[in-house]
Amino acid sequence: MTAEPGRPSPGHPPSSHPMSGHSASGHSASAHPTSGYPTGGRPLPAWNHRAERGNALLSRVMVWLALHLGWRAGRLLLYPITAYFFVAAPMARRASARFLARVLGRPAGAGLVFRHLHGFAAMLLDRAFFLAGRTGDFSLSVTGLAQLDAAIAQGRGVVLLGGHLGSFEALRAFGRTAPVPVRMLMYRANRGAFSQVMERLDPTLGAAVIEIGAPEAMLAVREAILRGEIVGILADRAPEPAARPEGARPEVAPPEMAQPGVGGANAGGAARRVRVPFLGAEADFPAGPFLLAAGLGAPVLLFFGLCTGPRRYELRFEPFATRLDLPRADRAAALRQAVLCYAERLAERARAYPLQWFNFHDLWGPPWEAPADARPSATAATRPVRVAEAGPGE
Amino acid sequence: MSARSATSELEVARLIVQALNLDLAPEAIAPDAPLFGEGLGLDSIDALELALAISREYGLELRSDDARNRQVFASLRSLVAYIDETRAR
Repeated sequence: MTAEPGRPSPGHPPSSHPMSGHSASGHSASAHPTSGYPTGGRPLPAWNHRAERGNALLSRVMVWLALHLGWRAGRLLLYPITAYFFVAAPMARRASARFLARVLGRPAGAGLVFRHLHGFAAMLLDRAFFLAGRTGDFSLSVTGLAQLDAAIAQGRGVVLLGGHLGSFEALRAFGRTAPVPVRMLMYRANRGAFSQVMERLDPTLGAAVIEIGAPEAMLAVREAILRGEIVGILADRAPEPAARPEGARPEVAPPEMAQPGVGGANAGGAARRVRVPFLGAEADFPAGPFLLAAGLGAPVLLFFGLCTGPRRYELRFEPFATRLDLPRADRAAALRQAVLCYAERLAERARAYPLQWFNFHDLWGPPWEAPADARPSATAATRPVRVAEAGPGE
Repeated sequence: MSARSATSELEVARLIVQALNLDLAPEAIAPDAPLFGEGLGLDSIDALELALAISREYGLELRSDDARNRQVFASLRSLVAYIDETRAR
């Protein structure tokens, strides 16, 4: 779709921003065998409906705390709340331990896992304040604003790729004062009480979210980009096939409190994954965000909203590609290169802030293989994206 | 196909196959089979590419706020009907 035959940079070299000072752990993140030892290589249940429900419950609690007790009291209550979830949510505990072992290169003790879950709860509490617009006591510093401004000034819209690291809500808080509208492409919790609470907190939320699920979602993204707006996408979570039973209709989105992300947006899209090394082992990333960014032809930056202290956030923008080009002829390789570049930069941030990694989804699980009849009419071989997958026959 | 149909299903099927780089004969796309999810198994990235291709080929813009989108994208036949209808105006 990008018609230009030239080869714009697939990405800039990994960031050289001097941010090592905040490193929450000085451990080297040595490569680690795929087995991930906290669980002995046993396949883990996906971060599934039950976990999402617990997640939603936790979010609701945080919203209530934020609205009724304020930040300080809320923070104090995070300890008993975290303790409860530590005991009651073994899946979250295991997911945390698995990630920490990988990023630290050694088994993570219960204390560190507790701190990780506490950090997650703290992020949700802060998020409630961001959503409620009660950010007066928060400080948000922005790094890389000049690069973002330069990208905006080109008038071609801007695609921001983020990850489940820190709080993407910092981007929306920033968006309130940004020169152009900022929208998030995400799975919106389209049912249930939690989304209603969130919408009440921020009535503009609906407009700021482009909901993945319907075929026209990407048209809405394109229209936003054509208006010169910013579209944020979390690019580190492939759609969960388990949450999308075969033949799922597009509107059967992931459940309550679903985190943003994009792959293909429906059952068929689950197949579009790219497997690249990430923190020492092969991991599945969604191809969708990259294909979309390439199709839109907009400049691409990375963004990270990281908590650097109590009520302190740093929003970082880092140049990624002036234009992501995935030429048809060599699309699989170009796509892999782009995902690899993203994964490296994400890993760099994740190593610096391991306790702010909130993607409790098993990226390193066995390669997901499309059901044989996933695309009954379209043979995989020439689907450029599928070529990038690990399946032997494809 | 009715006589006044300006756009043939085969023509649009070819466009789909070409735009999405499907390894599939255009004739193999069943006119009534769902394009997305089940059936042809396209996803929303495909929808964008397809919308852009249709825009280039027929000069008509598919809009995200069109209430009929779901119906338009339902099948090859409904897509052709939409193109015809829009071009007729």
